[in-house]
Amino acid sequence: MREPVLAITELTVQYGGIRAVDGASFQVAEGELVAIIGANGAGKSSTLRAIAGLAPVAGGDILLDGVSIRGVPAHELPRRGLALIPEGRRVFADLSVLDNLYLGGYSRPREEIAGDLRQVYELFPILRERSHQAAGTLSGGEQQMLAIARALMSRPRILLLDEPSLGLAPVIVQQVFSLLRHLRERGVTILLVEQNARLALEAAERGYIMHTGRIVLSGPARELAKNPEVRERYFGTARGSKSNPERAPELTAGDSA
Amino acid sequence: MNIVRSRLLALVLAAAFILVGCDIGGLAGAGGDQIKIAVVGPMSGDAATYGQDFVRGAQMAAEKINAAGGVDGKEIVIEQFDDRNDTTETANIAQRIGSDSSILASMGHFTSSTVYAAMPIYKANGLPLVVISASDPKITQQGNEWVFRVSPTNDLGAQATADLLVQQLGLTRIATFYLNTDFGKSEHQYFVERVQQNGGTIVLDEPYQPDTKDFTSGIIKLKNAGAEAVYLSSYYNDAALLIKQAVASGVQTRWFASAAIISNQFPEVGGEAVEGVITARVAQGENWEAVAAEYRQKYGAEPTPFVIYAYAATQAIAEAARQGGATRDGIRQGLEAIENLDTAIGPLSFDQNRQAIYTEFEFLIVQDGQFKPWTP
Amino acid sequence: MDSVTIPVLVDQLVSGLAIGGVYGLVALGFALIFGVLRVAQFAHGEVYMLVAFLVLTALPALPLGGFSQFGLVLVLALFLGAAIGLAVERVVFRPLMAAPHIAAIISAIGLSIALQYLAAFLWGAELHPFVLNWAPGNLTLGPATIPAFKVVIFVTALALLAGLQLVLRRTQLGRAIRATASDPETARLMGINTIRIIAAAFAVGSAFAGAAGVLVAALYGVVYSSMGIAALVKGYTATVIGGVGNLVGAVISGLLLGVFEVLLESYVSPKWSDAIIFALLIGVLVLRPQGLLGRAIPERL
Repeated sequence: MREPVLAITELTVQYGGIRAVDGASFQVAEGELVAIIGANGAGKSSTLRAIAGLAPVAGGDILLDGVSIRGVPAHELPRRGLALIPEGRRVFADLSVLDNLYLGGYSRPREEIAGDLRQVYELFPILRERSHQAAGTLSGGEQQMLAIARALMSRPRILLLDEPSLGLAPVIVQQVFSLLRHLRERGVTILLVEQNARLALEAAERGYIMHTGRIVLSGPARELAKNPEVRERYFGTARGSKSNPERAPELTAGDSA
Repeated sequence: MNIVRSRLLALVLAAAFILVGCDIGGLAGAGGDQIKIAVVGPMSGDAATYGQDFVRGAQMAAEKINAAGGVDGKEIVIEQFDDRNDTTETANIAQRIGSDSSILASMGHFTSSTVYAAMPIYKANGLPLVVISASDPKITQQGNEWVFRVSPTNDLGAQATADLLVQQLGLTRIATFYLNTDFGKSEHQYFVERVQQNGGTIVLDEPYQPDTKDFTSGIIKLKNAGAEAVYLSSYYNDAALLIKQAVASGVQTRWFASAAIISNQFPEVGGEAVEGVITARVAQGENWEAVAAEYRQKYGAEPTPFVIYAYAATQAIAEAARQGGATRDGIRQGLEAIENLDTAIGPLSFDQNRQAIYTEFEFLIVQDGQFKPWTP
Repeated sequence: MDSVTIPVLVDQLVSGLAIGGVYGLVALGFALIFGVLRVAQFAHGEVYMLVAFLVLTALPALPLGGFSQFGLVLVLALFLGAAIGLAVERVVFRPLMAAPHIAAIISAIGLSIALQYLAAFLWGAELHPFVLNWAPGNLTLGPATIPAFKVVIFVTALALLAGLQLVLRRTQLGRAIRATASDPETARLMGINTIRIIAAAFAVGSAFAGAAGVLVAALYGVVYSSMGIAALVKGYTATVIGGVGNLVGAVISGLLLGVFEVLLESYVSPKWSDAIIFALLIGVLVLRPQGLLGRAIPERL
């Protein structure tokens, strides 16, 4: 297996008396697209926020390219190659699309921003058209594109995405995921957190299933996608049928990591 | 409860003791070889320096008179009282002074408001009061025969300046600014009336609020009013700023102002812009200057005019006691009879309203950052 | 009532725009700091006052004549304002960053009072004359003759405001300030050290207060320890009317406030002008808390 870009060991995140993440361990290797799936409140977002320096780490370690980044302030991390696209996209609504992209490149040397901007515009021609429009006036899907483009402006070693499908129409969600696959093909390392398990496992190479702050299952995405319990609890199989994420799947599949 | 009650009792006893003590002191003085004069004013608080100058002026005069043998062998004694420049406290203090039979005359109360509060109490107690600072002309027009005033009223300087402008200098189109307070409004009113009596025209009549620092809107009106001269019923800070800002805005006119601008701060704040500003005040003769010099030597500071007025009031009371007898009514009658008495303010006479008569005015002009005598 | 003529009106408008430009500078600094901190810097007026006093003290050491003295004074005021702003941020606001906003607001009010006493203690509570070595005389504008210095003040204020707009729109620092005001957490994800950005906003906002302080001192010819109160009140009013956080709105409403004030004083009464302006402030706070210009100009920072 390739060298992990990101290695999480026994991560614990605690808010007051509430333990949101309870000893989670996982890795993301170079060029991989890894998905963490789980129900609402399973601790997925807290995991990403802890990695990005936004949530307090109570225990465990976070290694980026073998160096611990636990306790490094959030604003230092883009410089070290880590970019988080937060839940809800969080574009700077009052600022123009162009300003948002420039801010994405805040950690980069000034002279390289123009070149990066050209590349990002090639990838997202729509953003070039809208570059002087306020980001808040974009559609939800366009905002998600902008959030991803903005993160790419920092030329990250690893891109963390928190629920990119949230609140988007299914057609748009498809577009977002095909973009993620495209990025993976171009060699971008991606860690994705998603409630839409089916799509996430389709796009990812490997997956982790998180429940009440713990990683309860892991393996190649294709295998996880076939796991009947995963299908039952997280896929919401056919249209209208209800998934049941409240109970954790048994630790059955072997961990391929 | 008990503790509170016993404390209250102790307080009452203490107060009674003090009152009795006072009375004993009073008895000792009454009819003895003393003429006791109360000096009342703000002895604490913001205006305490004025009260202090009241006492210093009276004290200086008393020392001089006593050194020369007193009043027919009786010693002048000055006792100070604090009215805190507050009308309620003034009423209490005036009552205390009035009921102390050892006190034969009183002087002071700093402002017109406190004088108004005290006047009826002095009348009821039959004790003469000599006003030494309050400047409302109407104080001595109330028909209260126990109230005299040695200090000038605020109408005099305004009227003298109005006469100067219209009659002597022939400046008839006059703009006015005034501080929108009792002082400014009444001073301004006397000025305007006299200008109009003299046949002049008021081309601008502009009030401004206390603490104004920006006179822009008034200055723009002034620029377009076609005034030949401007008169300010102002204190030194506002007058200096107004003139400074007007000059910076290109206003070219002749400036005149109330005597309230007389202060070192005026040329200090106004700088070059206030060069040539003219004000009128009652003439300060040799006697005035002699007392001021004595004050400077004694206290190392510039006296306020109130030192001189307190000094003159003490001289007047002493002379009244000499002529009318060392009783309250004797002093009142003695004061009424005073004619051209040589005092710190010069020859002192009262008009039929018991107001000191001021006929001599002197004009001052700001030159090289100082107020200097000026003759039209 | 007084007759209105064109020269009078031109004079009133120019005067209003000059003082309005100063209000705009104060409002802009206040709004900028509020934007990134979400706390009202109620000692903003005292920064303005302290800079005016410090420049007054330094004046004898700046024996330049004419316009170069004015330029130097302005630059000095900007730097002094920035320095004081940084100190205020470091000493008063940063330690309270995690505390409830009310703690920082109360501290700011306390600081405001303390600085007034400090100035009265150091320089005295009386008025201090402030005179520049430069008197640009009068300008003839059609039928009106107006003091050139008022035009200089207006132009200076506009130049500073335009400069800030340029920084905010065209530089990474400016974008970082706007991002921090818009969404501080996401700003951190961009690699922005928001603590430094808050300090930078304090420096820039306070520099503007400093510039406003010397412009007003030169315009009125006086400096005094309580001068910051009026500045804060007018600046705050302009900020609220413009829509809190709306920098362009703060500037526009500062200018309008200056003109409105001169017209009120001229045609209504100097006695009522402050009361009317406060009534307007309260009315806006109650009826339209997003500001009168809040919707007209959607961009907040």
